[in-house]
Amino acid sequence: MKKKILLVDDEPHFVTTVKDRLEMMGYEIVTASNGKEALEKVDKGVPDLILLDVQMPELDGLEVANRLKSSDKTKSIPIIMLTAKGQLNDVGKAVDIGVKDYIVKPFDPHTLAEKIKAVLA
Amino acid sequence: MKTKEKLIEELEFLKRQNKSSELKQKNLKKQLKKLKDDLAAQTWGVTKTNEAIKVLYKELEKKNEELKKIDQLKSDFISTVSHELRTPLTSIKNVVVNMLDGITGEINEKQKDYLHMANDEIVRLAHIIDGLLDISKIESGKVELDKTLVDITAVVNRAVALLEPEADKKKVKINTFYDADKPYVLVDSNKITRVFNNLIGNSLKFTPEGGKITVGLKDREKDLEIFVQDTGIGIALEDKKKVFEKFIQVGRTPGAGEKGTGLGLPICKELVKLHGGDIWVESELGKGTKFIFTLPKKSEFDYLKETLKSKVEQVTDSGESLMLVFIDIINLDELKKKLSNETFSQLYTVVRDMLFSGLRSAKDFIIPIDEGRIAGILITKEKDEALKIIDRLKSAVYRKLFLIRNLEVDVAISLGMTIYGQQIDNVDKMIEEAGKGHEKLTLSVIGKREIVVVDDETEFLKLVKSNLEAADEFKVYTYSKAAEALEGIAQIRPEVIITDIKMPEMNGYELVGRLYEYEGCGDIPVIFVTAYSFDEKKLELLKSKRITTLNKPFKIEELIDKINSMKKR
Repeated sequence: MKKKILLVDDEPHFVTTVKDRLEMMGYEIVTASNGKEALEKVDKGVPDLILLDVQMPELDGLEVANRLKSSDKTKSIPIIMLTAKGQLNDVGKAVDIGVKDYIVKPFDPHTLAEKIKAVLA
Repeated sequence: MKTKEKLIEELEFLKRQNKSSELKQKNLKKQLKKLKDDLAAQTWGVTKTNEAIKVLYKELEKKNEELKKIDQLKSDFISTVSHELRTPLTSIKNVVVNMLDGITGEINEKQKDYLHMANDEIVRLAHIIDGLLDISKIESGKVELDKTLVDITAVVNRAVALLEPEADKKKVKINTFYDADKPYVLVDSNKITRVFNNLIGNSLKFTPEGGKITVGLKDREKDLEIFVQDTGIGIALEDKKKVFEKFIQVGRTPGAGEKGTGLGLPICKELVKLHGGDIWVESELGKGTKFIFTLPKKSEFDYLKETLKSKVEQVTDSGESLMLVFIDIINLDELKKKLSNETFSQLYTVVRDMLFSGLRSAKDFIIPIDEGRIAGILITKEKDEALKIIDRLKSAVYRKLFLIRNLEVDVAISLGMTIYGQQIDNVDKMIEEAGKGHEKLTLSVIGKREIVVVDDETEFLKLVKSNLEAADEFKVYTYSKAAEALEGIAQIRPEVIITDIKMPEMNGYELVGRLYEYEGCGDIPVIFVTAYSFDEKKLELLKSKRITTLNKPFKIEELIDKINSMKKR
């Protein structure tokens, strides 16, 4: 069974390039372009991992993480936050909420791949 | 007649004189008028000048405000732009790296080269964005220094170790040269590490194979002079002034991946300036370059005074309450003899962190004064809040000491004065007063076994205390009232509690029954002493605790045996 990753980011080019790479690595990728959509996608089928951007329209990443972590059904899904440099305050909040890891944009795609492997191992 | 002639002569003389004095008077009047006119003109001039100055001043103030605004705008702009640039850059990087990794299908060697070039430029662009963000932060005053007392050689060694692999690759040797006895400075060590990284990295870039880089320190009267010298290509005279300007890259022979961001040296300059130091460059084309910067050897004490002064001003304005706290390691010399440097600095960190954790919720400020003393400035809204913090601080100190008990550290806490928005212009006096407190308020002597004795008979207390302390092994705290004893026990957390049973207000059973109300006190062993009989029922109720009994009168050896038998499981 392929592991399912939900990739949530509002930058379409970013989503496409990350999706291509992760599919090449053998994962099944579901995407969402904002927080609301992300929650809907989780509702339809719980993924093995969520890559979650912090700054997004509708619901931001922190709020999404917060909601997922406060529901019994979804609280065990590991989350890796995608954040821009200078948003380290948000990282602190995210860690408090209980996200697994975070990565700072712009990052080396290989680093992201390593982090995903580590979380899904 | 002679007299007549003389008289006429005199008369003529007088007339002449009169005339001349009239003339003089006229002249004087003229002069006076002129002076008056001048004065009036001058007054008018002064008034006008004053007015002009006022107008100019206002204009200057306005300009200053405008400049500040522009500066702020510029900083905001740069930081926004930096953030906005990162987002597309992330996508571009993904595109390039994906293609390089063959995710989009096979590519030929030439395409690969091109993509590598693109990737190098992306990396460089990312560095420039980082640098821009950093420098805009520094310039807008948003960077606060987290100053601590550090051995600057340790900072240098760390930076050198970090860059050594790169130097090895380039076959460049990095040496260190320390001409300073005890180069402790009060700096933000992360920021200073950054300065070293930039300077040494810069030298590495321009020093050809087989070259040498020397990082050195010179102890001077008021500051520490630090230099990074290389045997590289050097900088032309006309370029020397420009090296610290943003985006100016001089003397370059650009090679692949060699081009910098043009921001490294400007950042160094800002960071050194922020520390109150100076930075400059000496260089000769073809011979090498020497970057020199200074860090003021401002003592920690001066720093404390400075900070205290500004905090006092702040409190005076806001009506808050300020307190100065000293924490001292009393047996510093003894400790330093016993402990290795490393263990000692560990201990120092523990003590410092402990103070931090004790103070964190107040708007506080911690300054290491020297190795054995740390000052904390506490600012609170209310006096009560301040007192509560002191209480918490006491227990925080105690807890931490408990953990490092085997290091046998005596820590005394000293509390300074509390003030209420009143004008305190003599900071020295404040420090002096706060410093006095510490003998009185020695919190606990760690390393001795602490015993609490509770009895309403003070003679008994004195006797037990003097007998037990004669052994030099024990530190005995005595209380004649159970309620007070509880408070004391909560703070001291003694090894054993010895308590009488029959006491007014609260008896011994009740005292022991209430221990659980105090964090960490519930299972302190208890020795009940009484001249009467014990209430077996009450003892039975307390049997989950470690208790034992001893009948009065007893010999001191019996008591010590009992204490030893109660040693923690």
